[in-house]
Amino acid sequence: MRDFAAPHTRMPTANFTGSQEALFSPVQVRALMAAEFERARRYGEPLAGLLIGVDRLGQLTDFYGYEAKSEILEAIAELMNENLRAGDFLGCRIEDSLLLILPYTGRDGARALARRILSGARALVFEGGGRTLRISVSISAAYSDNPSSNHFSGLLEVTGNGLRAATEDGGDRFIEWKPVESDFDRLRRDLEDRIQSLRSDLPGGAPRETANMQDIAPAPLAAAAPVPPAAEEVPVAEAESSASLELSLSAKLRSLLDAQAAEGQEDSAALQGKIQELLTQHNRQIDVLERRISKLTRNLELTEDELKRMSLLKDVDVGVASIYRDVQGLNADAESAEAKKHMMANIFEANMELQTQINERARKD
Amino acid sequence: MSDADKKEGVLYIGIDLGTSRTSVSASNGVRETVGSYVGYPKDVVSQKLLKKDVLFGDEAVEKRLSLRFYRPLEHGVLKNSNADDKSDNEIQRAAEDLLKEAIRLAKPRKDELVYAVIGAPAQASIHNKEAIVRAARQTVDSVMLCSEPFAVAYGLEMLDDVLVIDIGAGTVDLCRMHGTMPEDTDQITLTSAGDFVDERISENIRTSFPEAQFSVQMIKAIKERHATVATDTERIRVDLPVKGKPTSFDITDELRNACRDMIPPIVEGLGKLVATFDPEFQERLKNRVLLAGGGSQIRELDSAIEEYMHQELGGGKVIRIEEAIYGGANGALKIAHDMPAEYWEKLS
Repeated sequence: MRDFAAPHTRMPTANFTGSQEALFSPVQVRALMAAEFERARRYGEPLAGLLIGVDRLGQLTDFYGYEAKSEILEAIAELMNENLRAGDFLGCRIEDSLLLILPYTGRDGARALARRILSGARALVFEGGGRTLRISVSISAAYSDNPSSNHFSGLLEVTGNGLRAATEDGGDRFIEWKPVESDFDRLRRDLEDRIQSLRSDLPGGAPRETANMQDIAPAPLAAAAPVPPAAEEVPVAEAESSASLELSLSAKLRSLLDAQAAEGQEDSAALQGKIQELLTQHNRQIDVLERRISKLTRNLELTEDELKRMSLLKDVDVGVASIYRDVQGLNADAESAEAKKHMMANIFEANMELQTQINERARKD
Repeated sequence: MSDADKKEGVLYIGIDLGTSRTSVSASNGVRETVGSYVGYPKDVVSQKLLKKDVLFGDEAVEKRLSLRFYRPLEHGVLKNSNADDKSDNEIQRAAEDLLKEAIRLAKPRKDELVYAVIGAPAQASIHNKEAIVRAARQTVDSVMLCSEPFAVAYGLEMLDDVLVIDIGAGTVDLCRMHGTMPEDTDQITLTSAGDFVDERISENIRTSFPEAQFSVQMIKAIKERHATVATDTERIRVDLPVKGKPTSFDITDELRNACRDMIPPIVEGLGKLVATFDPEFQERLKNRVLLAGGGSQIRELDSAIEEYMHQELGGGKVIRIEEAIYGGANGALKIAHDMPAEYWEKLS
């Protein structure tokens, strides 16, 4: 058991810490890291980074003072010294967190180490102001085989985000943080894909200009092309789904002209009328598609606005996680445990009686 | 991500539900306090102006002219909690809203169970306790009540041969701790508390300076800033309006005498608790008196009680607790923490 009031004890000298003051400065670590990451990349060696933060250190400092904070951080550094292999890691202190870089260490090694540190921290006991204090830590990991953390600043960002997430979830946990696609991003991507798909279904991506006689010129009348199936109404959905409207219109025109040639009719006015009818129908389909695009674009804008509003609402305090995962109960080793146990039972019985009375009254009412 | 699935937790909350101040300590490290005042906009116009359906604490006091203003725990208990008319329903609603606000201030997460221990006045009636529990059940998963002075002593681990004086705005609770749960005979509730002092200050000022104009809220503010029982203090001068013009008054004696008026009933109560205790331990009991609650912040009150105890009881030692505002809430939180799981589950 450590006593905050006891003289400030220094950590035993070890390979990277020695004492908090002896940790590498962030500038030194940056220089060393560039070489370390380069080596890992060149030789395909794994490299892991762990960022370790003491849960609620700020509150503990407020309550027990800065000496307690130093004592706790030194105890954590000491714990790491005990759990790490000599000579194959680098460490530094970033604000109130401790960063470990573990060359030649993959996911399994980093996870095992993180678990050891987590359980080691849970076992630490401090004594301050006549009270016993236990602490917990949160650990975030990142690995060099991940593109977002294959350089030092990326690794710092990933581990920093992870540590924040671990702390917000109540601490006392190990997290391998990955950027998560938000609902907002996903929905926007889906809608953009749909719009893109609709646009690509339009002839040449430029709706009106393609729908003219030059672009869909009929084959020469003399061409003895095989007779295609009779022209049919192409439903909009079908046009959207696969064949472009342009191809559909070409097929229809070709079919019409072939039929005309086969029948030997030469009534150009009637032919022009039928072609015009086909073009009108084609333009109508394009109109429908354009209206749908316009509607979807408007919906996308509205959805984006709504999602922005909701993302702002996310700033509404979601709360602060409790230190405890489950009900604690009286510690059998606590001072006056037996008397306290008796008191707890008395309080419970009095409240049980009160609850019974409330229930009876509610039944009568 | 072996531990990442441990999302949900148990948030313990200790609440000191006081007449003028409700304090909260929670197992997520949050400690908050809010004035025990609740206000609802009087009409649609004030609702539009205030942009809120309900206001609490200092904000409610500040805007009270536009509000239906309630102090649901006047005299330390839920006002008229056993009556049935419409205004009493609104008081009950105000108490519920105040508790909701207190729990909101503790910042519970949606995925957590919330277990609360609420400090109630030592001799609150069964109706009052029921009303508090009913109000709390709206927002927490399981709730227990305990005596306020007991919570203070439990929080400081002073369970043996201790006398606790918990001075609130509505009540002064005296409690004798002797290693077991205090019974009714171990507890005395007095009404000569903060509100009583406010009335006395008002009376004294009215007698000495009849031309001075003031309200209860002004007197409270003066008391919170200057309250003292010390004889060798600097003169206390305050500005009070006279026919609309701010005028300076020396209220040192009026304030000090009003604060000193609360000492005799407290020492009389302590005397009763000492006299009915095992004679062998009476001396030890007198020398372990804890002074807690918002009223304990009156300057030199501990020394003045000690002095009066010497006169009346032949001796005594008074220790002022460090955290006057959060002493009760911290103790309630400690009780919540120490309560076994099966008890919480049975009451949920």
